[in-house]
This record gives sequence, C-alpha cells and structure tokens, in this order.
Amino acid sequence: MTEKLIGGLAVILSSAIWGNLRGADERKKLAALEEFISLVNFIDGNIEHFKTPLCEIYRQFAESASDKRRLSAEMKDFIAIAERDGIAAAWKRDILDLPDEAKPTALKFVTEVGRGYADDEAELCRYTVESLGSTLDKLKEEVAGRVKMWRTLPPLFASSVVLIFL
Amino acid sequence: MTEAEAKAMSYIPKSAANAVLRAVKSADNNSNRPINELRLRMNGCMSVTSLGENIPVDYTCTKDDLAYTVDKLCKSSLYSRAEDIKNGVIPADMGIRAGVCGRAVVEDGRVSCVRDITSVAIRIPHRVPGAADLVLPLCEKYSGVLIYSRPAGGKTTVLRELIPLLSKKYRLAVIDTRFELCGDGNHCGMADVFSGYPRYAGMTSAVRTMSPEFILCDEISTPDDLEAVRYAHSSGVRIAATAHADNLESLLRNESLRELIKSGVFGCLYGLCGFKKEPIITKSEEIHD
Repeated sequence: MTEKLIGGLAVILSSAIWGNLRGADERKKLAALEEFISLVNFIDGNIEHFKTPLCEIYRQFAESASDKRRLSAEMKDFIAIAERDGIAAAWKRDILDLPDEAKPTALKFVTEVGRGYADDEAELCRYTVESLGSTLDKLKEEVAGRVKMWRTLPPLFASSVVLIFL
Repeated sequence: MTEAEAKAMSYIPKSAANAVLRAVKSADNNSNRPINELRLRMNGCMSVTSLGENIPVDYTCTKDDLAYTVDKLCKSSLYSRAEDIKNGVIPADMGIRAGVCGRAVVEDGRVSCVRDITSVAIRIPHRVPGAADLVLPLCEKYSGVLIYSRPAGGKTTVLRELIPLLSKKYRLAVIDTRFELCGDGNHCGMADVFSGYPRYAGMTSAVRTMSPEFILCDEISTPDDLEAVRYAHSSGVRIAATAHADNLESLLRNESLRELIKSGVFGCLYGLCGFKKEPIITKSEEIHD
C-alpha cells in the first residue's frame, strides 16, 4: 500500500511539475512577443529620427538592452543573426518562440522591413506594433486563464486517476 | 577576378552573376579581362562593359532580380539611401557605385523620390597604376587642372590615381561626394577625405579647416560647385577637378566653366578621349574667344 501511495504521489507531483512547465512556456511566449514589439518600436524610432541602417539598429538594440532591460538568450541570438545576415534570415532559423497568433504579422514585418522609404517603414512599424499589441493584450487575458488551467488541471486529473487505481 | 569585381557580383542574383561570367568568357578567352560595369534592366537584356566594349548577357532581369540588387546595394535599408537614390547613384562598398533610374515622384518640379527602380548600372572601380602619370606634372605646374571626358571616360580613375601621388608630397583634401574616389581608403595615403560632403560644403570646409595645398574634386557642374572652386583658388589652394564634356568645344559651351577657365582658375585642361587614346592637353591661355 505504501508503495502505491508513493507511486500515486509521484504521478501527482510530476503532473503538477509538467503543468507548471506548460504554464511557464505560455508566459515565455508572451515575453518573447513583448521583446519583439520593443524591437519594432526601436526600429521605428531609429528610422524616423536618424535613418540608421538596419544592421546598425540591431547592434544598438542589443547594446541598449544591456543597460535598461535584459534580453532573452533567444532574442540575443536572433539579433546577432539579423545583424549579420538580415532579419529575414534570422526569422527563418525559427529562434523566436512567438505565439502562433502573432506569427503572420511578425513574418510580414521581417519580410518587408527595409524595403521601403522612411514613410513606408514608419507605416509598417506602426501597423506591426498596433497589430501585435492588440494580440498581446488579448493573449495576456487568455494566458492568465490557461496558466491557471495548466497548474490545476493536470494534478487534478492525475489525482483522480490515482484514486481510481488505488 | 578582383576583390571589387567579386563584391559587385555579390550584389546581383547568383544566376545573373553566372550568366555574366559566361558572357565575359565567351566574348574573349582572356580570363583576366576586367569587368567595368554591370547593367540590369527590368524585363530587358543584361549587359556587361569590359575594356570599353558592351557585351550582352544572356539573362533577362525580372522585377525580383532588381529588387534583390537594390536591397543588397542598400544593405536592406532602402530608406537610409533615399537621398542617394534621388540623386541617381547609390554608393556601395569598395568604391563601387550604382546608377539607378525608375519612376520619379516629382513635387514642385523636384524629384522627391524614385519608386519602382527599372535600371541599375553597377560601376566597378579599378586601380590603373600609371593613369595619373601625365597629369601629375601638370598639377604641380599649374594652379588648377580640369580633367574632362564623356561619361565613363576614365576621369574618376585618373583622379583616384592622383590621390596617392599628390598626398605623398602635399597636404591634400579629397572631396569624395559620392564615395567613389576613396572607396575603402587603402590608397588614400595621407589625404584628408571629405566623404559624402556636397562639393560646395566640402571645398569651403576643407579650405577653412584643413589648410590644404591641393583639393581634388570629382564632377563639378553646378554654379555652387564652380563658386567653391573659385573660393578655393582665391584662397591659394591648387585644384584638380573633373567635368563631363565630350571635347573642348562642348566643355567651353558651359558658360560658367568657360569663365572659370578664362579667369585662370584652371591653367590646364586635360581631355580624355577614350580607351587607349592619347589625352589632349590644352593650356588655358591658348583658349581665345
């Protein structure tokens, strides 16, 4: 009986850990989206005021991040590749783990950025920020619910299974 | 293939670059034949210029090919080159420059931007040691030398070769408005380079701040340019500059230039008449009404 109890507890514990990891994954995707939006904002500001070439903007973004905010390892890799080979090439590597809902807008941005004049670029950046911003707001509410679900549902399900077998 | 040629090839799609190499090879068995210019035209035949000869390339450029080339030339930042595109030339690495044309958007009679680029001419600079050997003594003898030829006649090449020779002996200021004289800067020796400055601003700034003995400047044409040349000359600085003209008569048809020559700013005119032809040297005092 003791062995069964220990086994049951282990199942419940591991399902709770798994649920928490899934929840953390959801939050990580949101953080990645927030970082991407801040990159687009940074590009927008630099193009509007200084007409800085993109590779220079990526380098400045990475440098400025060290003072004010920390970039995730994925974003650091993404920026390094973007600086070297262009943002479209960096996107193809599939480094950034953005939410699926944000991917079409982000893809449009990385494909088109740098191909137009300053006005076109500002328009593209603003459209991207607005679109991704509203996606972010919507996802924040959904993710809060989903994280709660991942935290509670797997341990509850595991407990019920354990109870049945006990 | 020189480094600059390889760089220029990297600006065009791979399939186009391969077609260029095939065309150059089939035109001549000389594998070391230099490539001076690559021309891409939308929905048109591509061509390459080598040793003054236009060689058609069996490749038709698409809109995507031109977009790729412009994107590469602008380092994926078209907006940062808006002013250059408006002026018709995108300066690239290693002194390469690309002439562009397309659909102009005009506001108040001025080109505000160029959209839908339809032709790109990538000009590849080549060092031609000895190209300035004849001009150097003229530069030292006269207060100013004006080098003229038709477009792509070798004026910039001569000026580029003058830089290391003059900078060894004199305090030299180079007004490199389109980044085509100094390129990567390897050959510029002790010259002070005013990169990207408009000619007027560059020349006046050079005279005021760098106390040069010599100023080199490419393609003077506007009244502002000529005014700057006059200012530099009156400040006691010697000048070597270039201008577009097919021959002496067409050069002198430009009234402002004629006045400048007659006033003694340019003591000597140096006409380039084409590939492997002797230059025509004219002293300004030989020019009469």
